[in-house]
Amino acid sequence: MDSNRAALRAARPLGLALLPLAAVALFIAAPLWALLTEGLQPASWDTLVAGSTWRVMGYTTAQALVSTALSIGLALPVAFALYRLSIPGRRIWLALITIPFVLPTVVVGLAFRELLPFAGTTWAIIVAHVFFNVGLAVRVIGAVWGQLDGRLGEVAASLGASAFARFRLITWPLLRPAITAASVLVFMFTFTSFGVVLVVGDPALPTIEVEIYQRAIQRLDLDAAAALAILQLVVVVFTLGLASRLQQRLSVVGVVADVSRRERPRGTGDYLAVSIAVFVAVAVILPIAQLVATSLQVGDSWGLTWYAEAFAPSDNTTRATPVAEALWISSRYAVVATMIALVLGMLAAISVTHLKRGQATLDTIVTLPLGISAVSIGLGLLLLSIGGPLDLRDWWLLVPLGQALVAMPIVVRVVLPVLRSIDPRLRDVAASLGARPIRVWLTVDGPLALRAAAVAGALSAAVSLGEFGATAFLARADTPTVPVQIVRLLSRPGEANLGQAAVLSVILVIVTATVVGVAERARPSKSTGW
Amino acid sequence: MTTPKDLTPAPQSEQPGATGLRVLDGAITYEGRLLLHEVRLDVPPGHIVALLGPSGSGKSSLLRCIVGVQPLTSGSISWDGHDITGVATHRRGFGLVFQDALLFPHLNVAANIAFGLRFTSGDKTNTRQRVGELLELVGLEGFSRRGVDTLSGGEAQRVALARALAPGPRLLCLDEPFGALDRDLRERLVHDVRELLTLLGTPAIHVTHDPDEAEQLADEVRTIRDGSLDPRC
Repeated sequence: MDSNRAALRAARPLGLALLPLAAVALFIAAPLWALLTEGLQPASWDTLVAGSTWRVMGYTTAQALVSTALSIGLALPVAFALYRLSIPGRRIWLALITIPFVLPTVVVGLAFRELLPFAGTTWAIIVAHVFFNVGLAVRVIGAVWGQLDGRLGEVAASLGASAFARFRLITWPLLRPAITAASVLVFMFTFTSFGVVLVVGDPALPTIEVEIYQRAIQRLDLDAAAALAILQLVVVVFTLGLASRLQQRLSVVGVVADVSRRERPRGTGDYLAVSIAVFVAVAVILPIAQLVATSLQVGDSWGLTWYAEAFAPSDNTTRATPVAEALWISSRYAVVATMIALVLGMLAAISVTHLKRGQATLDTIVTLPLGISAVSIGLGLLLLSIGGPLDLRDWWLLVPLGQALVAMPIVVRVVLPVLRSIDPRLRDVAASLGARPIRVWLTVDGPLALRAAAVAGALSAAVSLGEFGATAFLARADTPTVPVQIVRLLSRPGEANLGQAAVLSVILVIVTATVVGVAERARPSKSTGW
Repeated sequence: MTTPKDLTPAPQSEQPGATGLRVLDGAITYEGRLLLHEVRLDVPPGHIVALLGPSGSGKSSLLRCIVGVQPLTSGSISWDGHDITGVATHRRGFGLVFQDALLFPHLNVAANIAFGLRFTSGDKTNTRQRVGELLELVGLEGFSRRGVDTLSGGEAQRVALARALAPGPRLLCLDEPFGALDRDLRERLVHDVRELLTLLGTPAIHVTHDPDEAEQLADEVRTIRDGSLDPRC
């Protein structure tokens, strides 16, 4: 047995683990490198110190902070209701509030543009951001809250603490790490938010992402765009660093209940929390209903006119192919992007689990693109494509490459916990029975990895289909993806363009929801990842 | 455990006319099932009553109702003749100790013990002194700055006891307080707790499934059988 184990260790050649990691690292580093070389030039200094840059940064930070505060504030009572109280239909409410997170950004933008009377203002951005992130915050906070032993509160009550004192002195400090984690996530998402801001925000008040896009694509000032992207990256890295310091300081060994018992609601506070949870869950449906309504509303009546027009071969004026051609284009891109993300993400995850040391570091590197905004990834790839000896600007593979970079961290996050949950002794047993390393992997890890890969693949496909930030930089004018087509339609006046944008949105929501729904069903129940 | 110098016995035990705790016609249902009915329970001042019964018999539920973290399905609870059935837990002044110590994980030993002192109306300046006395009382002098995750099971349970006694509870409710400890430790702690409660004059209800433990700790043992509390013997 011992000699077999030694043989197994020796048979895991270092190169086998390092090669895919090197490929993944290159894949992530190349666009970053392009950004850095382009953005760190003497001329960039003028961009960085310009007053307009700091106004944009200030505005971006302010809207992100308000969005984060409101998302967390709303998430707390909802998490309490769904994770501490026993209420009918709990799973349904929980599923409902998670929906927005997987919806494509431009689709949500369009929905809120039509739904909100104050669309085109900062408040519209904030409402859309809260809609997007409240479910995420509920999940992150609820996961911890649901496991706190309720008897801690009972002990505190017996010592004389009122409900408010119990929350302030017991629940809040114990939840603080989770609240911090959720806040950082929501801040990052709202700080780097692009599609929503572009569609629903005030055109005169760009956030940093919109500013990068406008400089690069509309003013063709790539140097300044790259400089701004670096600035944005610095903020993100700083936030993440601060967060990890905070996490270490705050982390306490919480008392985890053996059986998490959810109490029946009693008292005004409980019923208020339940009402807020139900309100949030129902409010999730509103924007989707709005999309369907907009797609069906033709003048003062209802009909399928926009559906017919979207699929009509040509309207002889502005375009030669039907609007719905984008569905076909998006699907092809999504398939390629998913394959790239899956192959690289799986290789990275497998390599990480087989490394003896430095697992945590590599884990961080592989998930790094989550922190880089999609817009920066798009810009980096764009710079890379025109910076080399060949002009690859029009290379079709750019779009799937960008989408794969956005999706790959999700693949790693889904697959890695599954692979880690495998008892290493199983591998040793297989090896001791004489199986060669490859055989060991195929028998022990293979079946579980395959299932995780299916889930990860579905999620990647959903991400690729809805991806807008990177794609906006990379898609050619004659091959728009669905989100690009939606934004393009929205930039044109008229009911017909709006109607068709809504049609594409509805179809995209249905496809995304189906894909994610299938993935959730196939997901191994033990998995602790995303 | 050493004798405290400054801790005064619970005052209500001295008052004439004090009757302590009384549960009348108590009934408890759990998920639609009737667990206990026609419960009549008296805990006179300074008295320790054990509730003995198998798991699932409803003894813990009864204790939870008395502390006020769970409502009685019907019946009433009174203290010294005043009805407290609808009074919130934090206004009842009944201490609570569970099987697992359930110390607040983000606070150290001293802060855990001092927790209840925040809400008492008395002098708040000598909190540290009071914590020191309580630690002495439970035999853990010098533990005040320790993190709660560094304590052994027995030490944690002693801190939990000190925390419950700190605000001077009118009644102490012990829910299988020694269940998680090994035999030697348990016997020593049972003995110490008995001594301590007698010394302070604090009445207590002790929920357990161990008849020996009940005999050792309590002045009176009441057994739960078939959904009702045996009449007093």
